[in-house]
Amino acid sequence: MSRRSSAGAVAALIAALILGAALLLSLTTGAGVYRQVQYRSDSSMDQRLGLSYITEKVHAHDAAGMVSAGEFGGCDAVFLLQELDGVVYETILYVHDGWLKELFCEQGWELEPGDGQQITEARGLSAALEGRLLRLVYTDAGGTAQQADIYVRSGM
Amino acid sequence: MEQRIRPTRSGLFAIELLIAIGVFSVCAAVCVGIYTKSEVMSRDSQALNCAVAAARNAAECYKAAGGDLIKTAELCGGSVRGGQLELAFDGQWRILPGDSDAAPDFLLTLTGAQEGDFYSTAWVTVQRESNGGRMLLRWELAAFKEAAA
Repeated sequence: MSRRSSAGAVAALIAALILGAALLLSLTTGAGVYRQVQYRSDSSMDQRLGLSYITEKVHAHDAAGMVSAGEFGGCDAVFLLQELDGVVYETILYVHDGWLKELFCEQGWELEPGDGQQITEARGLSAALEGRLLRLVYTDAGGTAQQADIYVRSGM
Repeated sequence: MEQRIRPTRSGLFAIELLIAIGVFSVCAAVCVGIYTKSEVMSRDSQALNCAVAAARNAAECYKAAGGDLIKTAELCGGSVRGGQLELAFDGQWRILPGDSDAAPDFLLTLTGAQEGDFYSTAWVTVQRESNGGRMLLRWELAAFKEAAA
């Protein structure tokens, strides 16, 4: 084998190695970016979903004296009342057993927190009223706490 | 007499490989550019998500305070300077205290716009202070004055 052809083979080998390294780098960068994007998307969804659900429910039930905060089975809860055909029903939103739950029943019924319908995974919810401002601190499944203030237009 | 140089097989192979590497390098550069763009878009999207939550809270407090910026600051934090409420956040969207020396990463401002007999309006803006600064959102709000009563 001549010296010229041997140098060409080495150059081709180096070039092939560079190509392989570039491909590997491109793939690992892509995988890393995809993982980050997916993580951010998931955490944004987790944070937004539960709070948006509660916020929209409160706004939907915003009538005088129909929104309140209190305790339900040892958990902080948001109580939303509505009158249908002369009967008062309540929607209770609370976090129990790792889930944001919703319970819809006639007011006065003796129900347990475990009876609620699971909405989304969550770790905690605290609710307090300051005047017409309903202050919530919601902790999502990832452990991120987020505060939401909701102005109850129709009054408590 | 001119001597013609005959291309060798390995030389042709090297040229072919160089062309292939050139094409793949261009593709890789385009891919890395797209990855970088998607990373920036993802960060912006997350920042906008948090900015919306912060602005929504400030707006609700503004309405609960009946359009009074000082009462709004008492409810949601921040400080009132020159007729506007400023609420500074760090990179993790934690509210920075008013006397903090740390440079904020994000700044929410609530600026009074119009004072009516029964209502007042304001603009809420959230902008990124770091990396050159960029406005994330701008909303107009209105609050009934009776709300504070």
